Amino acid sequence: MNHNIFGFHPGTSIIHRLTGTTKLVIFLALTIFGSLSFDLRYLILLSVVALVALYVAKIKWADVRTIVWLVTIFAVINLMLIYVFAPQYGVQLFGSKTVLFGSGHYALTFEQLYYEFIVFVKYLFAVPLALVFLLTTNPSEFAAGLNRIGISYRVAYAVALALRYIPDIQVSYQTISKVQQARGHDLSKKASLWKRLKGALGIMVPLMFASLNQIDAVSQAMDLRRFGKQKRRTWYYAQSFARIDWLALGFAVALIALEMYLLWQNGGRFWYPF
Amino acid sequence: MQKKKGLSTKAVVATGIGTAVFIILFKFLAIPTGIANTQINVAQAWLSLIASIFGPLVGGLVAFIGHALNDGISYGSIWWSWVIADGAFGVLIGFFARYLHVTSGTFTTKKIIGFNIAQIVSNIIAWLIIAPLGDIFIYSEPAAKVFTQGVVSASLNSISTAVLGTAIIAIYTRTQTKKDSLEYEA
Amino acid sequence: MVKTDNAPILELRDVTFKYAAQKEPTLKKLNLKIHAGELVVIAGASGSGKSTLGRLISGLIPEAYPGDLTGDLLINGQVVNGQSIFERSQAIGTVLQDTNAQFVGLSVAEDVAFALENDGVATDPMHAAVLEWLERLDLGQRMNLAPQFLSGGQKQRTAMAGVLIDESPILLLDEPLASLDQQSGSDMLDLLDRLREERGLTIILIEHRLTQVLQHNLDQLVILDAGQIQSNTDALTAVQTNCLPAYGLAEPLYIRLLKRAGIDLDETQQLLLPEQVTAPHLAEKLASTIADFPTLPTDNFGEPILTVEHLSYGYGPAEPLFKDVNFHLDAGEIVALVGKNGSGKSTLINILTGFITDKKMNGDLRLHNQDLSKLSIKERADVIGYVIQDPNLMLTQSSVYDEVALGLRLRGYEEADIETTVTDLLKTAGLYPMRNWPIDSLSFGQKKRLSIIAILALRLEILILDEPTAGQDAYHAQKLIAFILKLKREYELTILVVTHDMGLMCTIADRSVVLVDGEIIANGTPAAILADQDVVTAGNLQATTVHTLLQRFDLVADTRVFRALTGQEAHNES
Ligand SMILES: Nc1ncnc2c1ncn2[C@@H]1O[C@H](COP(=O)(O)OP(=O)(O)OP(=O)(O)O)[C@@H](O)[C@H]1O
Ligand SMILES: Nc1ncnc2c1ncn2[C@@H]1O[C@H](COP(=O)(O)OP(=O)(O)OP(=O)(O)O)[C@@H](O)[C@H]1O
Ligand SMILES: [Mg+2]
Ligand SMILES: [Mg+2]
Repeated sequence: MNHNIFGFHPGTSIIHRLTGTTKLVIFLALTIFGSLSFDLRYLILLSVVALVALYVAKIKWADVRTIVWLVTIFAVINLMLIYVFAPQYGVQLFGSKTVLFGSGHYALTFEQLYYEFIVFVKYLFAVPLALVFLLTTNPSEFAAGLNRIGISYRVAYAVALALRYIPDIQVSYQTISKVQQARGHDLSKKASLWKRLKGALGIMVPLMFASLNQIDAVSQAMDLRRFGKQKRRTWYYAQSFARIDWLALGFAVALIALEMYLLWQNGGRFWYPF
Repeated sequence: MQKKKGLSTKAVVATGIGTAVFIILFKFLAIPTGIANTQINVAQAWLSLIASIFGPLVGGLVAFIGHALNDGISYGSIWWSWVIADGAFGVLIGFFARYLHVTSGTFTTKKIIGFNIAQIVSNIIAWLIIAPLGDIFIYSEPAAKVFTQGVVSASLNSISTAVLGTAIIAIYTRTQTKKDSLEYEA
Repeated sequence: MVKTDNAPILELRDVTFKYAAQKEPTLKKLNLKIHAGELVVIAGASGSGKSTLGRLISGLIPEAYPGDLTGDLLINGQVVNGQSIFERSQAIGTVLQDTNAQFVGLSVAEDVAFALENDGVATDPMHAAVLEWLERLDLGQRMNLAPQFLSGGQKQRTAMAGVLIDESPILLLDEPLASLDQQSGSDMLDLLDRLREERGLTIILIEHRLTQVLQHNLDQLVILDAGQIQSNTDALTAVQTNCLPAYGLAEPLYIRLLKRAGIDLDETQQLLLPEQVTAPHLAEKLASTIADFPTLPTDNFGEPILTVEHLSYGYGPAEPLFKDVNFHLDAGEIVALVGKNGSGKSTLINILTGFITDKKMNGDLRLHNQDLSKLSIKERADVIGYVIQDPNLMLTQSSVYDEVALGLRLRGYEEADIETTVTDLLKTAGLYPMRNWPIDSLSFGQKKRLSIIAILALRLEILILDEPTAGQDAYHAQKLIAFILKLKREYELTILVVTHDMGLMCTIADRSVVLVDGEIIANGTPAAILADQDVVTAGNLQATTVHTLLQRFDLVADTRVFRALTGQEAHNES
């Protein structure tokens, strides 16, 4: 069972040595700016940067295989949905129509293919970035990092608590679900919808009471150790910025500046050279 | 006694543990309806309970953080428009539930109806307005596709909350009633 | 031993407290003086108000639990009634009962640092303080581990380090021993002794497990009953004046044996130490008393109904936990599965019940000569009932009655048949008068009994119980033991019990199996197991006080003795 839902793998690569704050800022900045861009050149550049980071962080294919497949399936389903609902969306976006195949409403056009390819790259480019972030960041540094970028320490600590309790809740969940099966609830795919709803309720009720009790106990324990006393709190895992952090941030700023330039030059989010 | 500013410790903990439960339910307990690719979302029912007990701020944070973390952990990328929509749902349902006093006293038929109207309205605002508009503005997706997805999500989430959400709130409020009523029976 | 010359470090004056939701006060007119450096133990039956008193001292009352508080609480002579939890926590470090909930950090070091982080202490002094306390509590090696990789004892020590780091002069612990095995419990008490000696700490301990505590030099034993302090003396007087059984507390079994032997406790020397206690004619009196205890009928066990051969299994890619485990249960016997924390007891049970199924598992598991691995969880559950440790994870219905009926309803029985079965079981468990209550209003012990009969309703052959008496007071533990023995007789069950409670093992088990680090190292009668010093050490077990006492006179502490001492002998006469 994977107790470490973040999937953190300790290591010594240059990316491991960046502070949690740096990685968080770069991850958020690049994914958000990447989602805004429809410039194929830029998206491919970002993907290459992310893949290089993945390589530098020495992450193995086995660690990321499942997630890559999941995202690919998710992407393909979405691409098909787009085609089903708006087969001529690319034509509408780019203002030209080059039919490659078939005719009528569902005619396959070059513009549609080009648009869907961009979307595909958009779905995928963030995956290596997220993997680098998740696999090289100690969850404790993550919370400290959130606080450092200006999020209230209470909210940052709520995130830390979520990460702390996910493995516990997962064990409770699995125990409850096995106990319910033993008592005769059918949770398998064969059961009727109604039976499965009742089964779900059989899991939710004990989980609800256990979690609400947990909330009481944990908040008392935190009060007894003075959580929330000061305007600020310090973090055991706070890290100070080193030169590589500034270099990495500088690199990210350069990438964002490039996007701004491209937006201005393309006169919009799309780049369509044809 | 000094007055604490910002979120109370209990709200912080409710957000943290509430989020953990949300993620676990999201990952492990989705019930396929029999229609391809559509499932009843048990996590959404949990969210409505937490938002009803702890209010709009905790509700919004649980949905926002829970959805974002779950996306990050399971898919690598975070689909911001849906994360924002879910957060908005948490805030709305928490706000309505507080206004309707859903978790104080008994969960009467009147309250059940009120709660369900509120949750359907919140689901419509979140999935039929915020999520598709976000998809269009942030991701430039075709309107026909995202609104269809919105209709499907809004209906499924409304049904999940109507069935499972109502049930667990009813069970929760039943245990909150005064205990003087308990006596030994022969 | 009570020092009267200097002012008390903590004092209660006529303290009365009523929870907002309650009609009557839970604590009534309490007066108590605690001096610096003392070890004070607060005992009392379940519901007597111990935790409430603890909350009052730690400041959670009235801040986290609203209610009416009258009287004064003084620290170093200063009235501190209106103080916030934050200020109070500087003077008193509190370790709550549930150490897992108390563990809020993602790693040991972070959790220990929590209070300092909240005070805004800079990282360098914080790291230094954390390291110092980790070393002091022997946690240095584990500082980067997450809570789910720690044993119960290690979690307990982490919780202590997390409050001791404040250097507050008073330490308050609510039932620190409840979840620990015997050896870890002893280690914890030794650690408290050491802290008291080295650092002059004042320690207030709320505890049910008095047998172990009484052997440590305590200054005051405060007994609460229905919210009032009924007795406040030193341990010796409490034992000599029969205070413990009078207020529903567990009297150490050797004391009970001394009394049964007709020994006048006032004439004894070293009464609190079973390995040293002396009294006139002790040896003869013990020998003749034991000889008079009724003999037990000889049980005839049937064929093995559950067998495990050459089982191997491991969780991760690391070295497997089980390499070659062989194990069997014979029809009609009660087997106790014991051994230190993390040795694999729960894992073994989870494999038997199908809660763990894995391709990496090898071996031959048979139930009535059927291949167990071919059966689903539900099919196994029709024969093997499994009551997990935490009843809160089992109970799902809104009333006690429905909970017991659930399994039968899911199996499609007629409602009329269900009613006879359920009524019968509820009466056996003493829950019939509460059949319409919501589950939430039952005490822990009642929930545990309910979870057992909810499983029994299904007419099983084998019952597996994980830690049935953990965290219960003497009275309820006693009732549970009686209940288990009654079930065995009435339903001819075969029972497997996992426990850390040696008294329970000696009272009910026909046979004990000791599991250590995934290996079965011993298998025999409880008396034989506890007589083997190597097995006791390897399994973190501990001989009971009765063994300690009787061994001095070459007498045998067998099941007969324990049944007689725990009042269970009557049941076996039929
Ligand atoms: N939050 C609460 N609100 C109302 N009543 C309470 C609350 N907590 C405890 N009580 C009541 O106060 C009484 C004393 O409870 P308390 O928890 O102090 O007992 P205890 O001696 O610690 O028992 P145990 O050994 O089972 O832990 C009980 O009758 C209980 O029902
Ligand atoms: N889900 C799991 N994943 C990985 N390792 C586990 C898991 N559950 C238990 N372990 C490990 O397997 C070993 C045996 O654990 P198990 O819970 O069976 O011990 P136990 O004898 O029941 O202990 P206790 O007396 O504390 O209940 C321990 O080292 C534990 O850390
Ligand atoms: Mg208590
Ligand atoms: Mg166990």
